[in-house]
Formats: sequence, C-alpha cells, structure tokens
Amino acid sequence: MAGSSAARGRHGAHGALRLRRTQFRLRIFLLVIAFVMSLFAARLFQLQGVDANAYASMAQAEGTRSVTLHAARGQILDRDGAELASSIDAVAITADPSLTVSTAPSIAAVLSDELGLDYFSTVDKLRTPDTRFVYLARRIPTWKAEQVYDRLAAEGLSGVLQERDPLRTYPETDVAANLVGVVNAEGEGGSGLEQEFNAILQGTDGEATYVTAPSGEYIPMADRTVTEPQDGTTLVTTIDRDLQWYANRRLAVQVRASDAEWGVAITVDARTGEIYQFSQVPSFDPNQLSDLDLDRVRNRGLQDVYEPGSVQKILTFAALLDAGLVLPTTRLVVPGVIEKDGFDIRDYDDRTEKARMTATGALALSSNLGTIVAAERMADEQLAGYLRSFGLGEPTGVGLPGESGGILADPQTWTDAKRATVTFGQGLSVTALQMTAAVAAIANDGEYIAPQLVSGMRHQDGTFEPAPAPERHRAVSEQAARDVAAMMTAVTERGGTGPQGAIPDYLVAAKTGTSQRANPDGGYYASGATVSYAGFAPADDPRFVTYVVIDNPQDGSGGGSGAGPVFRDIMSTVLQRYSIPPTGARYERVPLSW
Amino acid sequence: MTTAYRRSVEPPTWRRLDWLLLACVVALCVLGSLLVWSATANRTYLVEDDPTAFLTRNAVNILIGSVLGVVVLVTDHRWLRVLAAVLYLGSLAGLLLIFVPGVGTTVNGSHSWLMIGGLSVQPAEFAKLGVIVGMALVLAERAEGRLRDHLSDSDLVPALMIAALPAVLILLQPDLGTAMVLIAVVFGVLALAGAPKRWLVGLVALGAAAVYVAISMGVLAQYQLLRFSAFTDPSLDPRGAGYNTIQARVAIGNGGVFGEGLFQGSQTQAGFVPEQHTDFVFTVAGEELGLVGAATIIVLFAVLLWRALRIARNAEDIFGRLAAVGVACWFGFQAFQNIGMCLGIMPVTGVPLPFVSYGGTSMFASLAAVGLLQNIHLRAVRRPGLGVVVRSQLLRSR
Repeated sequence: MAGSSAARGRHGAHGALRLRRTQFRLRIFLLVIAFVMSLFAARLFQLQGVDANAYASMAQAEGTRSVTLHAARGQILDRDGAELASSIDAVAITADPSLTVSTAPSIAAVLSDELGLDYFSTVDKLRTPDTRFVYLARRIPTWKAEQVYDRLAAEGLSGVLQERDPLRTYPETDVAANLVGVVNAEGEGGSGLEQEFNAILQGTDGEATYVTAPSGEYIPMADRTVTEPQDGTTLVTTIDRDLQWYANRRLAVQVRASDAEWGVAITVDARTGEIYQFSQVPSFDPNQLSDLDLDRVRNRGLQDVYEPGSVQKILTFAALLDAGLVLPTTRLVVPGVIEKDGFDIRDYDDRTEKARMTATGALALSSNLGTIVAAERMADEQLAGYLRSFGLGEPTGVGLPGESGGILADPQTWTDAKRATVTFGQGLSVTALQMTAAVAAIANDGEYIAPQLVSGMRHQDGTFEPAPAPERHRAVSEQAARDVAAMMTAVTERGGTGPQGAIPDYLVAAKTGTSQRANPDGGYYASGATVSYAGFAPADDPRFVTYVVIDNPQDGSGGGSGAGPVFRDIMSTVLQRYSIPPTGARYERVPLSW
Repeated sequence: MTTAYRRSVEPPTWRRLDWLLLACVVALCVLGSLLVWSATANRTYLVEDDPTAFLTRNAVNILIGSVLGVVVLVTDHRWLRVLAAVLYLGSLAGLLLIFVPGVGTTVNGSHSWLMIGGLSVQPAEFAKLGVIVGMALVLAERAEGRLRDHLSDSDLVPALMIAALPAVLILLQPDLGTAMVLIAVVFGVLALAGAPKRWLVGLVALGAAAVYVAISMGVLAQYQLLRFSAFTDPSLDPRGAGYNTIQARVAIGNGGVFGEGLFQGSQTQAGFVPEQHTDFVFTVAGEELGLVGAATIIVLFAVLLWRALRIARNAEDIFGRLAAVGVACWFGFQAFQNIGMCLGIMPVTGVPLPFVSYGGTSMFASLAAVGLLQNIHLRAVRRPGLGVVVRSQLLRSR
C-alpha cells in the first residue's frame, strides 16, 4: 500500500500522510481481531476440549429425568380364573415444581376440584423448591387422569405430568378380603396373600431415563434408556369365588342375627386339602384403604385362637379308636359329676346320677364326662401325640401371614383337670383352620393333609407352576377314621346334638361345639360361648369338610342351633355346586345308651 | 482510459468482486440457516407444526438481504450518498416511531421493534449502517474539502452528532448491546479517519460513562442489570440471571471436538438455551458441530474481517475507506460481543451474530453492508499484476 499511496492523485501529500497514520491503525485493528479470535479459539478449546467431559455430564444431568416404570402387580385368581385382586391401568399425577411455581393456584384448583386433593397442600407441593419432581396423587384411574389433563390443557396450565402407577382393585370387595389382603400405600402387600406373596406378585419396577425439555416434555430424538418393568406373577388360589361369596353372605346373616362378635366358615376338599372358601365376618373392603379397622383386617380363622369345645371330641375318640382302646359300641358308665383337682366337671344336661352310654352315645350327645371316662384308657403322652398329628399346636403352613399354632401344652405339665378338659376341647386353643384340617383328616380316611390356599403361580409367559404338594401324613388308621365318621352321623340324626346340620338325602357326619370363652387373663368369661359346627358329607365317602365358628352369639344359641344352619346351607351349596350325589348309604344305628 | 482498453483488459464486474469475502458470507449464511433450523425444529411453541418454518423464513430473509446487497453493490457511489441520507433519516424515524404506542412492540423488556404490516422490524439494525455511511460521508467531505492532514475538532463534532442521535434513542429503548456496537463503530471510523488520540480516548471514556449512566440512571431494565452482574458469577443465580450464561456454556461444552451432530444436540433439542436461534445461535454450532464447527465460524469471521479491512486499506477514496472500516467494526464488534457472550467471556447483551442469527432486519442490514463493501472494493480493484487501482471512473463511465 505504501508504495502505491503516492500515486493517489488529489489527496496529495496530506493524503499520504493520513494514509500512513491510518495504515498503522488498520494494522492495530487486524492485531486486535487476531487477538480476539485467538482468545475465542482458546476459550472454545477450553470448553470443548479440556472441560468437555464435565460439561457433557452437566448437560446429561440437567436434561434428564428418571421415572420409575411401575410393574403391574400380579393378579390373584380363584380356582376358575376369576379375579380376586387385579391391577388396572392407573397413573400417578406428578409435577415439575420449577414449571408450576407461578401457576400453582390454578393447577391446585383444578386438582382439588377433579380429584378432591387438598388445595393448600397441593399448592405447596407445586411450589416445592429445588426439585423438578413431586407426586401430587397416586394411582388415579387412567380415565380420571385424562379428564384432569384435558382440563389443565384447556386452561393452558403446564408442568403437570404423569407416570404409570397401576391401581390395585378387589372386585370381590369384602368377600375374600381377609384372605387376599391389601396393598398398602407404598405398594407393598400389607396383609393376606398380598403380604405373604408380595415378592412374587410385585414384579420388578423398571426405569426410564429421558432427556427432557424444560417444559418437561420428552424429546423425540434424544437418547433414552428404558429398563422395562417385569410385571408380577399371577397367583392362583384354590378359592371358589362363588362359594366364597355365598358362604360369606350366609355367615354374615347368622352373625348379624345372633349379634355375635365374629364368625368364620371354612370349607376344604377332604381329598386334597384345598380350601374352597374361607369366610370371615365382619370383614372389610380392601378397595377403601382409608378407613381400615385392624380388627377386621385380621384373619380370625388363623390368627385368633379359641378353645374348640366339643368338636375336639372327634379327635379324642379317633385317637381312642385308632389305639384300639375303644370301639363305637363300647359301653361306658358315666357318673353325674367328676371331680378333678377340686373342680367339678358336669355334663351339659346337668344330671346328677350316673348314665350308661355307648362311645357313640358319648359323641352324639356330646358328653364331656363320657369322653373323660373313655379317654381314661389312654396315656397323656399318647393323646397329645395324636392331637399333634392332627395338626394341633403347630401352624398349618397354609401360606398366610401371622398364622398362629394354637396352644397345646406339653403333656408332662398336664394336671388331671387339664387332661380331662383337653379331651372335650377346653384347656387348649386352636385356630379354625387347624380344626378344619384335623376334621378333614377324619374325612380323608385318617390321613392328614395340610390345608392349601394357593394352587400355583401363572408366570408372565403363561406357564403354570404348581405349588408344592401339601404335607400329608397318617393321623389315624382308615378304620378308626371310618368308625369315627359313622359315630359322627349320629350327631345329625334325631336325638343327636346337631340335627340342624342334616341335609336331606345325604349322610352327614358332624360334631357340634359350644365352649366357654377364655379371656386373656387365663380364666374364662362369666358368660358367652364360642359355638361351632364341624362336619363332612357324604359321611361314607367324604368329599367336603365345612367348619363354622361363631364367637359370642347373644341369642343363647349353641353349636347346633347357632352354627349348624350355616354349616347346612354352605354344605348343601357346595355339594350341589360340585355335583356330589348322595351315596344312598344308610347309617347302621348303634345304640347311644345301654 | 479508453473503452477499448477497458474491454480488453478489465474482467467483467462479477469476476472483480471480492470472492473470498462473498464466500465467507455465503458460508456463514448457509451454516446459520442449518443452525437456525436445528434450533427451532423441535421448539413447537415457535414452529407449531412446521419444523422447517424458520428455515424457510431465514431463506427468505437471506434472499431479501441479497437483493438489497446487490442494489447497494450496483449503486454509483454518488448515489450512495443519497441512499445513505435516506437510510440514515429513515432509521432515525424508525427509532423514534418505536416509542409511539401501538407501533412499537416490546420484546424481552426492550422497545426495539416496529410492527409494519405484520412484519417486525428493528430500526436499530439499519441505524448502524446509517451511522457508518453518514459518518463516512461527513468525514470524507470534510477531509477532502480541506485537504488537511488532521481532522480538526470541528470536523469531528458533526460526525459525532450523526452517531449520537441514534445512539441515544437506542440507549433509551434500552438496547445496551446495540449502543455498544455503535460506539465501537464510531471509534473505528474516527480512528481510521485519523482522529487525534485524545478523541479516541475521549470516546472510550464516553462509552464507559454511557454504560455507567445507563446502569445507574435505571435506564436499563432490571433483567439487563442482572445479566451484567451474573456475568461476574453465573452460579450466583443459576436459574435466573445466570441461566443463559450457564446453559450456553453447558451446551457448547457438551459438543466436544466434533459435536453431537446437527439436530442431535441434547441441550439444544431440549431447548435449554433461551433465544437459541437468535442471540445464542453460536451455542447450537458449539454443541452440534463441536469445536470444529464453532472454530469454523470464528475463522469465517476472521477472514471476513480481514477482507473488509483489506477493502478499507485499498479503498480508492476516504469515504470508501471509512465506510469499509465502519462495517468491519460493526461485524467485528458484534461477532465479538455475541460469541464472547456465548462463551461466557462477555456479559449477555442481546446482539445477533451477523449472517448466522435468525432475524430479518439484521440479515437485511448485514447483507446490504456486504453490498457496500463490494461496491467499495469494485471501485478500487487492482488489476492483477499491474498494481494499478481500478478507478471509480470505470463504474461511472459505464
């Protein structure tokens, strides 16, 4: 430039001078530009080359949101596949408080209107500082949630999001509630099968990590990693939903009519130990988690123990027959009163003079003293051994939480009075399920089968995995069992204690029970009784065993009159339902007295 | 010179253009279009259901700007004076109109926009060009008329007045970024016009004072102040004033050496960086094209500025030199400001990156300025090997 500047005509020397000056300044400009550009390059290199990893992870953390993909909980089905508990599509309504700070009142107004959420706490949640995720409501049915989102969208409110959050429903409401149980707010089984098989039912939650826009929307083309949830396994029970429903309603009628505290009815298949129905009154509605009364949630049939009373005599006589110490026709001389350890024990009829009865008579007429007299022939240890092999003193292992084993004291600690009362069902405690299983062993020709509630699991791939076979063992001989069954038919005959349980055309073996209620202090309540009725049919080819227990009825009813009719109705229903024909056998009458 | 001589020796006009400069501009426009497209394709609140909406609009802007540029290019430089006067007065009127309620609109707390028939126009963009040409005209006339070595104080005052009027209006909007660009332009033009050092020092002092006054007098909106203070430590308020700075830096840092690929940048596609298709478009390049892409843009600007200063150096008259320097200062300072803010080494002020950012008026004015540079260049082209500057008469005698 310098060389050519002189030629620049009309600017002349002045122009050349200025040009030189500007020339210098232009060079400075170029230098400045070079400097600034180098500065930028260095900065770029620092950001993208040196610190790149740090920024990339900042970017990663900033724009991602992890959501739990809740696995659907496995269903609980009855023996025919009907649902006792199932999971339906539902969502958790969540929010990104960084987006809802300013619109919190409007959003909360919609949510409290549509879902009944508390307005003020919702506003607080929507304004939670320093987080981009809060739960507003859990397990909202999808259709309901859609209404909410439609309304929010219509009002132009954003920042409220959703994620899958299956809702547990119990179509049978209170009918099988004590068996099936409930899922608590944390999604864990809180009682019943839901609790016992929680791990199997629960499945495994998945997780999705999304790259999200500040508005919380998922970004279409960005990376996402998804671990699919593994839905829970389906549990198949042995329950017959319809029978369960019927038994529950029938029992409820009786409990209500007699103003009793509670009632339990259990029906098992004598040949398999499968529980067909297991009813409890009062029960609860597992769909209404908010107002649970723990007394109702408890499964009284296996968590509560009571003194079984005269039903126990079945087991005593079975033991005596099995040991060959007594025959059904064995003649007994029974006094009016037996004194043990200073206690006077009397029969129900309060007679004063001695009676002559057969062993069958002692059972049919439910004579405490007759049972004591007959049982005198057996040693304590042996009797206790028989009772244990009938399952007393040990939980049945049916697969429900909190099962009690009842109380069967060590025979070496038995006093005379204890031994005497144990034979007719006082001084020991059982659960209703234990007693049902024990009676079922008689019905199953002397072989004890642990009761079974779960028949297996159906996996996600459709395969069925049967539950392990229940434990079986012989409690008494087949002959002894059949003899006891025959003796029990006398109970439902005219002159027995429980004709209320008789079913026309069927030969029904049964035993009534009416026991004093033990109080927690070790004594007995002054009044009130636990009444029960156990039986099976057909007596000569037993298929189903039903046991009904009603605690503390206020109408003065006993085992026969209080629990008998419930037994009869449930039993006739199950016999019809499973098309069990009458065998046509007649009872060979054994004289009750001599 | 004879017609015959010209015909035989002078290449046709299109071949005498500064092609390197043009190539840089085209490359920046193409890159810019892609980046604007990528930054907007997923922002449904901007593009609704047409992901290419901004790509199309940007292309239209480039087209209109090119037409303007060609018009300026082929305009005889005597007519340029008329054009400059119209441009200057027009932009001044526009800057005034902004303050008329109903005509001006407020974007991000700043009255920078005019709504004309559904189009939003930023008069400040044209005001930059108007000031450059206006100052170049006045200073050139003074210098050439008096044939003096140094510009006297009385020569400089009118030139400063030309700049001061729009600068005050722009500061009132308030648009600190554009005002700073104007001050840089004035500085550059005066420096190259041969203004004494005390003037240059005084101008720097004036600029600093203007910034100080703008801040202390409460002319600036609160958010603009916060951005300035956040510049010193963005982590003070990461979700508020420092947000832009941090997000921009994270996006660029996330790009690494080769970038995540166009349309693949997680921060960009997630929309974490605000105003990403306009002021923060450089961060799209940083994240999606990486160090390579970002450096390319910087190099393109470097080459562009070099060519602009070279045109200034070779300019055949004082007007040309000053105008070219003015344009170079404009592009240079604005690029410095914009990229610097994306890189976190300059405070956040809303100025677009010339040719790259989305924005109609900015694109029009920038391309018109390229036309001006080429115009100046054409009048001064040396024939290769001859060392002779092609005279303005060449154009004039056509």
